[in-house]
Amino acid sequence: MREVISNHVMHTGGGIRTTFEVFREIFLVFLALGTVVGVVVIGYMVYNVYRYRDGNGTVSGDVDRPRLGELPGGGGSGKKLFVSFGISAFIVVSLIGWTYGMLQDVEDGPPEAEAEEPLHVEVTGYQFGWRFEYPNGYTNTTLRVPVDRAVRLSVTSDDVFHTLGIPSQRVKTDAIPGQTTRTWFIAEEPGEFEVRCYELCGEGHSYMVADGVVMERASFQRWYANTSADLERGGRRARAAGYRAGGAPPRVDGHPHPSMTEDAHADHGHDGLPPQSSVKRWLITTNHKDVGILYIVTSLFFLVFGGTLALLMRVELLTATQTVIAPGAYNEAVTAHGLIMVFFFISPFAFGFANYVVPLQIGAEDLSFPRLNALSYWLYLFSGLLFGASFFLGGTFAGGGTMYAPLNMPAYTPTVGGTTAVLALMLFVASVTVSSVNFLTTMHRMRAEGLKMLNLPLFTWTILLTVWMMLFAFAALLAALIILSADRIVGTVYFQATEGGSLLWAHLFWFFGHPEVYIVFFPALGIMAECFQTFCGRRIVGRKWFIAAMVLVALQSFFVWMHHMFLTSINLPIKTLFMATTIGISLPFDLMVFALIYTMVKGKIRYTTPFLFAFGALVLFIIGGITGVFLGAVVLDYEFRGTYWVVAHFHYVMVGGATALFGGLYYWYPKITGKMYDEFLGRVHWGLYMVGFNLLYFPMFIAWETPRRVFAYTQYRVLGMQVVTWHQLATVGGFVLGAGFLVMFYNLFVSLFRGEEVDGNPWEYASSAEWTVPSPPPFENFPGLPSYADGSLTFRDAGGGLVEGGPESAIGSGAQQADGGTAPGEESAPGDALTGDERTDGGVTATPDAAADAELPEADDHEDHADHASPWPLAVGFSAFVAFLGLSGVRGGGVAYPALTLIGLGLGAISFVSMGLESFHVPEMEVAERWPFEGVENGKLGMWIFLASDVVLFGALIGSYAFIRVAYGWTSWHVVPHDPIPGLINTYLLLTSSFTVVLALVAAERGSTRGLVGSLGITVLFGIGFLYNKAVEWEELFHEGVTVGSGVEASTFFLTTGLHAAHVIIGLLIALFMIARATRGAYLGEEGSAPVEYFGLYWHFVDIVWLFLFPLFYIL
Amino acid sequence: MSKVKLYTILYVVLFVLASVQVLVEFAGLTYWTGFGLIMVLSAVKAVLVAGYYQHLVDEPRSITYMMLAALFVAVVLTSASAYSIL
Repeated sequence: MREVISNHVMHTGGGIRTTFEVFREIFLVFLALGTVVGVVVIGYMVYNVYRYRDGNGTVSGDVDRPRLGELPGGGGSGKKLFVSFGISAFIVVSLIGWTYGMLQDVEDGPPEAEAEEPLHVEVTGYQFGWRFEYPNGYTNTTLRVPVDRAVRLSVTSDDVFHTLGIPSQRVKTDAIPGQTTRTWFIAEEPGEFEVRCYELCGEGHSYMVADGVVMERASFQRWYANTSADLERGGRRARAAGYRAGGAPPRVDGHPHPSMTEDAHADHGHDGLPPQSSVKRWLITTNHKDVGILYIVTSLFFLVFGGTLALLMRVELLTATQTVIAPGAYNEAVTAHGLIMVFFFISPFAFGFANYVVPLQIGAEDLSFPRLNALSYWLYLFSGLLFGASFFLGGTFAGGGTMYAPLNMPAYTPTVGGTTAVLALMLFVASVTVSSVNFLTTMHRMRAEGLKMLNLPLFTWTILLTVWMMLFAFAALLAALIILSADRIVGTVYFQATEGGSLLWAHLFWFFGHPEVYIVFFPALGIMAECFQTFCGRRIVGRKWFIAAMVLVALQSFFVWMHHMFLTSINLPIKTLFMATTIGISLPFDLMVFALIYTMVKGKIRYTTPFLFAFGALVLFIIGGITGVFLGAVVLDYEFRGTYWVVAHFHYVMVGGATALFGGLYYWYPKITGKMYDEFLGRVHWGLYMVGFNLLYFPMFIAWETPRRVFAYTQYRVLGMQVVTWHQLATVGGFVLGAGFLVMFYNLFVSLFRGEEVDGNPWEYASSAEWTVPSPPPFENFPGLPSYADGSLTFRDAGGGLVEGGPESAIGSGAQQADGGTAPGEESAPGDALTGDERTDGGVTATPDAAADAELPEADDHEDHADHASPWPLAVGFSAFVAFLGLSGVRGGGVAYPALTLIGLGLGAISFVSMGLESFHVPEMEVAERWPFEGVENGKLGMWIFLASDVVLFGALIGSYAFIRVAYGWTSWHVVPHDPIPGLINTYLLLTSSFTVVLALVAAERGSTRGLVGSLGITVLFGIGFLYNKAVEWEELFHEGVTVGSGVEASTFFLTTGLHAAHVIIGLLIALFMIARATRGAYLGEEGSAPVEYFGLYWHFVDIVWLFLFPLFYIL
Repeated sequence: MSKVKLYTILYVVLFVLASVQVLVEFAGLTYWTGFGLIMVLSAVKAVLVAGYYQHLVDEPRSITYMMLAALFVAVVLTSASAYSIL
């Protein structure tokens, strides 16, 4: 075929360039250049890591060596960095520019000036087949085309989102219900070909293949002339022929595969780790180090869970036909693997470190809201458990990790478990949002004196940017999940709407999904930076540019999402724009990669396990990055979409990132446990990891033509082997990778007992503040208030004097010690000496109790930290679990489900009230760097940050409404209420209640209990009035037969205003709680009135939202 | 001017603006003129509530910027996705 195509180009004078031709040309150029660049860059890394190894005698004196406790900085001007960056940027930009010219050829289609009109075929995808309709109206399930004539395909779908692909012609485009996409090709040689689906579309996806025939022109004409007679029958037969004979997947009963069940059972082994004596501590702790440990351990459990699912898939893929797992179960495994790894493993794993390390690195005693931090953890754990439970409720969600609409609708994925999984993700988002508020407040307002933003250690920087991205991105995901849950539970019809419903999901999901890539990757980058700096003994080259590059990426990450949608019906101008932003976002990464590479030069590199993992992560990331540039070229993306190229690429990036996280685990293990892991076993793990990883994922590049998410695939030969052989190699790689983790778990577990004791800092050239305190650090972290005012870390007492024995003595002694064995904080924290022996728990973790006990001798655990402990975060998490479990079966799951929902809500209310009444220690720093939020207290800032995420949530909901309305035809849309007056009355009611809330604050500040209670009381009355008025309005609509499911107009109206009403109800509950406390004299005076102020901020926000909902849903 | 007096005046202004919005609808303007006017009125009301009831005017500017950033993110999502299917 290939030769014929080039012939064709010659005989048409090069005027026509088919996709096949363009693809091949670009692909070969990219492959050649990518290989050269990869080999050169990785070769240069390997050369440096060898040349500058410790003890090689190449160490020179003028190197930027980090010192313990220094104010993070340095890194020079980075001139060399910019040269390398410039060269790589030039290569990437010119490559993509070159391909863009060719994209135009492909997009323009065949020249109309040809003697012959192109053949137009309308293609419709359905579960699970393709229907082809010819201009004369003849319809068939086999695509017949004449040789040497342009064929134009207009593609759509009857049911869910499919992707049409003809691999032999390098043609691909999405088939979306309600939308039409177009593509074209010219077949050059008679013969047969395959038309298949490249987007997971249900149980029969693997078999969604239609035959294609390229016919001689004469025989095509004869055939076509005969088709007129068949017109009546063709379309009818098509559906019946959808399942191919012999290939029809058996209907599965929705029960999960036995091995999955087994896996989910394992849940119960992990949530109660240590023996009885100290279990309680873990249930009520709010300390950031404890919570960090909980996060790490829990996320490792989900690693095993998701990894087991992956191995199941790899076993299935040992053969090219379906063998081990039923089709439905395979889809569940694919879906759950993706969701578990991305949501429940990688990010929480990184946030385990963030929890533990960030407060230490910035000099804070804890996070700003410790109980909310515990709440984040419990919401995370319970969301994960809920996800696990979904396997037992008729089978978990099986619509793929990207959850494309409308496959995510109950019509196609009907199990209760499917809804449970969606709700589990929603609960996870709640955890993330709470966590984001907490971390942002902490990192912006609780930095040690002198620790300006630019001086933050790089790991903390990456977490800071991650959290900012999380705050906004997860709000968009929340909007998507709320709509999805409403569609699945309440019966709204957003995503099944042919007016853009399917595309709406893609927009919302990827608006979240692309920042999510960096959310997952940034912490890994931070750990790479920390490990390179420490183990190369050199400050990160071009540090400030490294930071600038990350900031740039974080900002840009919100403007690239449509590159995941290049094959949908979005228009060419927007594709071009997003291609440009996508290339733009890859460039800062070049700079970061070079910064890390140059850090090795003149280093004193020690091949410790954390360094090896960080180094490996960089190598893998470079491969992932280069193969990602391929995807950035739209023409290549057209062909790679839905294939193993994508799978291989993102695993190199995401699991490449996770590689660094494992490095982080080894790096901070001695800090967290006070014990050193076994270095030999660590290196064994690294070896198995690198071999297993590359054996697993690299063959996927070679076998890239295999469609994603199929268990049965077409055989073909590549590089001298059958494609199935490459897949078998990958499976072997998967098991090697898995075996490496057995070594890791063994090593880390045994080292808890037998590991060598370490003091504060086991790593020479470690510099950040966590290494200046004992391992594990004492409960309060530091012996005094940390300060960098003198240019390096000191600890001060309440009066501002230096704390005796603080790390400033250690800085002198520690930094230059050759063996790295300095323990700077040990004199000031006698608890350190006790840690090894005092540990009572037999789990994976060590508690910092002992160190804290040393400060408060004789006190038992409970009394000691009474104001640090709270059982209510756990209670809230559990209540949410119960409520969400109930919610998932409200529609069609039996009466037990609504009951569970009510019980969960009741428990939740009790828990929240108890949490609100409990007295609790809130860390405040007397002196701290607080840019850019000086002059707002933590609580107020937290509320504002929360509201910022709420702005995105409502923005995304209103945006969804606008999108659907644009797809529908803006002015043909009918607003649901007949009359704006009830809406206007509600506007008056809310405005008035906003006014009374302001008066309540004034009364509270003036110390008037009567004024406060009175104003809040009136607020509540107006709020109830608002709800009553709304209820009357809805009641009338229902009577007229207008319900949530009446169509997109009604759905958007009820859901958006309904969510707003839910905000009003939550506000009223808070107001009632406050009234109850206010009657007993609470909230008075300048300081005491703060909660009233925070409540007001929320209430006014709800008012502002209504100010937009009212015109959009009632007037316009 | 006392705080309460300021808040009361604002309340009256907000009340009037809300009423004007509905009047605009019945004023017989073309759809898009009416649309623009009504959205501007909503925006003015929102700015008043945020600026004075939520007293953003008295807070560090950084909070305003943060909220504007969130708003910007939402507007980018809405406008770019809507434009993509035009």
